[in-house]
Amino acid sequence: MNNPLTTEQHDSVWSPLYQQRAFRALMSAFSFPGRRQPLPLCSDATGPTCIAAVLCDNEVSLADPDQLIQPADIRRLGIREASLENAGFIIADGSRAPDFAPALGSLAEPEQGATIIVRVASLESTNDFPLMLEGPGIQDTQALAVSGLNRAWLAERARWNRNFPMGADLILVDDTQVVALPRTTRIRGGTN
Amino acid sequence: MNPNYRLPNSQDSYGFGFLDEFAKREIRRVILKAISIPGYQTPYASREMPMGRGFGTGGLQLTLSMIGPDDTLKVIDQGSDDSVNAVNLRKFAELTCPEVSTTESTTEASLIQTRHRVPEIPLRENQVLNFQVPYPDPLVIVEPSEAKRKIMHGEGDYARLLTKLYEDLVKFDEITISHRYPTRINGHYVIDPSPIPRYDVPRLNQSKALLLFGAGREKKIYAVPPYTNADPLVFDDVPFRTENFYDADGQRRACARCGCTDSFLDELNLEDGSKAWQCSDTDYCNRQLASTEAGEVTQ
Repeated sequence: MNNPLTTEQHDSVWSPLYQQRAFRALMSAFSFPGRRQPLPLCSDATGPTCIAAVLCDNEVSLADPDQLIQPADIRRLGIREASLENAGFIIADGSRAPDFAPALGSLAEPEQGATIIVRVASLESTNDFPLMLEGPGIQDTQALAVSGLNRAWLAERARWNRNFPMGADLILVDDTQVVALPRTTRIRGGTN
Repeated sequence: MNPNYRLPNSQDSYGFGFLDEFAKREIRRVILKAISIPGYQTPYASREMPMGRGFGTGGLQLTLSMIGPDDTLKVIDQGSDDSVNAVNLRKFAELTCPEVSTTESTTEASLIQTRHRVPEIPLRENQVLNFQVPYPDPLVIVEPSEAKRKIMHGEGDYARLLTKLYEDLVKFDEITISHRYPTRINGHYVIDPSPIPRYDVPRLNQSKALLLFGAGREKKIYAVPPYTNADPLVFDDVPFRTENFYDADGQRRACARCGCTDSFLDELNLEDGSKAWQCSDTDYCNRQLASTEAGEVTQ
């Protein structure tokens, strides 16, 4: 009586099975901030599009100032486009300093704070950009190396998140991996 | 409309996990926000499920939105795999999620849906515990307006809740909350941890597994992320107490079945009017029993 997920094409980012697996990677990423989680392999999209396909539909609004998602994919997802100040989801290029003020939610509705998907060059371990993370989901401290993230992001993120529970949550993504930085994560370092 | 029309076979069925993909996507978005704001009751559009609200629809929607063919699911009701709510929800998952394995073993499960208990065996980082929540808001006993409660939660203003606890101490020399003990998450939001006994509250603190709470009727999802402080609301000079299961002589009661003295016990009324105590977590009890029997065989 049911459609098993496995009868469908698995490696397409639009298949329910892919989206379920990618969501579990994202849920692990948010549970353990700063830990790299591999995205499941897919044949037809890159990192930012994978995240958008998992989380976005016509119920949410998206701002994509750097055009990181193909217009055809935006139409396929049916996402409403919005300005950077109002969008629920923002997709941005991490190499450029953020020059916008995202939605941070309100005291009564902090979940209205934006989710910002930041495309970076690589999340592979390097000594290039060592960050030390603390907060919920991290036992003591967690080290994170990111290449291709403009340092201004860290200062801006700290400013957005200074009034908990309001704030914005970041998802860093390269081509194959994802790291989440929810608003509760405190970051030290970033200068080398 | 043609009454003889039938959908093609490929469409004449439920999708995997009963919920449609839009419903799953919304719940997934809400789960991520709930983890990002530990303890905050994130509103969501709770779907109609083929069972009454109040029968675990919130926990079930959490489970169905994240489950996949790689998962092993365990469903417990008051610690037991075989009581009616657990059996029905497990059957529903088996029916709507082909290829998902179900288990009664805590260690084998990757997803555990629970009603009113935390398993005795400590959970691991790669497990997720989904609680079924009847009443998500601990402030409802002191403030009827949800709009005002949301502001109080945002400001971390729990003075009236503490007053309620203080009144209990004045009247009864004891905080009289036996279950659903208000618990502060990450030093900010106070949650209703669902009707788990006090015994389970310390195990929410710095848990290795992600803890998710779904209230289907009240349309709220909240989370306690791994390695996060969860402190029961108490006063500095009145420490938090859990059930101790001492008898009149000050002896810790043992489980009548497996004999262990380190688990949460259910009190049973026997036919002859006497009482017996038995582990509430059936998987833990079976495990203890199996290990003592194995020990006797080898001796």
